[in-house]
Amino acid sequence: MSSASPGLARSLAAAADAVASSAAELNRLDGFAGDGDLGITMSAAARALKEVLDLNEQALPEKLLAACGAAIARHAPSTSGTLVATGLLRAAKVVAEPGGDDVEILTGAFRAAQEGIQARGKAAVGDRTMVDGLQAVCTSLQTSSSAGLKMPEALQAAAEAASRAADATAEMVPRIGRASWVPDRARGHPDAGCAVLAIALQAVAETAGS
Amino acid sequence: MPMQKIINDPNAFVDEMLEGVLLAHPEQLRRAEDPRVVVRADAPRRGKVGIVTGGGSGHLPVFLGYVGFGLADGVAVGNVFASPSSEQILEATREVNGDAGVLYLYGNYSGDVMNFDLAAELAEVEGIGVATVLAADDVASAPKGSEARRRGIAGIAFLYKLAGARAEEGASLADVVATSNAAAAGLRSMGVALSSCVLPAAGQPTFSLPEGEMEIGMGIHGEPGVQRGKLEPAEQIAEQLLAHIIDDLPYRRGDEVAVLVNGLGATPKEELYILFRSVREILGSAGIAVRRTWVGEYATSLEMAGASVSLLRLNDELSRLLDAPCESPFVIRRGSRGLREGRSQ
Repeated sequence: MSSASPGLARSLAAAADAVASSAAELNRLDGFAGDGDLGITMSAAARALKEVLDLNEQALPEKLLAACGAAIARHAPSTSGTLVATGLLRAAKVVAEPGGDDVEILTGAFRAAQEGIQARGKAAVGDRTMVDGLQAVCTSLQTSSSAGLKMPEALQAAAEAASRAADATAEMVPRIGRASWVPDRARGHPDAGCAVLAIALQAVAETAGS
Repeated sequence: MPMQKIINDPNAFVDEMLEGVLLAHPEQLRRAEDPRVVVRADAPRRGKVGIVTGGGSGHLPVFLGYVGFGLADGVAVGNVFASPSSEQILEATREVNGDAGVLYLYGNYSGDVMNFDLAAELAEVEGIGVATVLAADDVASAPKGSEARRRGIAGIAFLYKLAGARAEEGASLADVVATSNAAAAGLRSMGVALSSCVLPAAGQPTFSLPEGEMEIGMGIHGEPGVQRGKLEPAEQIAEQLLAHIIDDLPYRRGDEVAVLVNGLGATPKEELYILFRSVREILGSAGIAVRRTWVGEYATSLEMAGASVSLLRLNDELSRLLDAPCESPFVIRRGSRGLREGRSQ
């Protein structure tokens, strides 16, 4: 991707809107095992994202993603905000490199985001965090890419994978972070970080398909 | 135990402390746009590596107290015992950037690492090169072989002094990092707590330590130590701490070291010197030569009673850098040892 990408800006805006309008639900999910403020944090992140997008609609993808990451770091400085910002910054670095079709680039971007978030947050796959959702999305995108699927279909499959991954966390035991202090309280409810990813990707897939 | 503190609103503890420091020392320090970001009054210094530090409040002179000439250039100040935000660290980075790169020097705590690492990434996007050196000197916080998981405690005072002096000489970022890492590799500390600190917003002691007991190896936020027991005389405390410290590196017969005996907040300097007396004697018997000595409060934990001992293995370069002048509102070395320009050190 070396040219301006209004499609990327539209996708990010749709994701931000969807996450912001789910704030109450995210607070509720976070409240089962965390401190119940993930919706507040993500709303702040979404507002920051929208401001950047309004100002940078014609920016190159790598600039746009880096600006989004920086804005979220500034306006949503909690652990989850820091991790989302990290993911966007790492994705920005990857999309700046030449190579591949759109699905391959998106796969690389999500993989870089997952690696960055895992390294920074010290969470592994299976710890019941947003990393589990990212892992499912990366696997789905890789499969789509290998099968030669193109963008709207690949995104739809990734969104469904994120949603299934979020549902699956409901029966997983938290092994890291605040939720791990009270592992039983989380049971039966999806991980709030995974829910954010599922909501965002669903919105992106709908935008791409329309 | 009721909270015995000279404060106003407990939630204004950090901001009112910062206001006081800036009012007292306007010729040495200034704040950035964010009131939690404080830099040297003369920052940025063109062509000099900038040094940014930061972390939770409640440890003065760590971290803010080491912002000054020959020390660090800027600090991001967190709430009591809590990391500053990446944005605050980034702002400190911009404020001290003299186009020679910026060193992040701070203690190894997961929240701080996460925010400093993110700030480094954001600084890179802005074209500022950042390198990181962590203080991880507390031998009680993780076993030998897991040095990377250790927490940073009072030994960081030596690292500020050395990195700051090296940067003041005009060394490159790579050279400041090399010196700092070499120093950190020969730096070990361990503490003992005799009573708990009280977080202003909590109003309660963080932990309880019965009268007449002590905890060896306790961290500066009250993290559990390696052994709790009867309060021993200073000689035995020194023996216990040094046994852990010396074995860990290990320091060997013939090594030359700098010693830091640090008070945690509520222990009088008299007691620190009594402790140092034994430290000096034990090191002497072990054939380890004490070339430089710092005794005082270099890293505290609010009103925690107790002390820590740090050893820094010296070479010619590190000795020279330790002797270089430095000045902040909290730490002053006039340069060299003894008298200079008619002023006592």
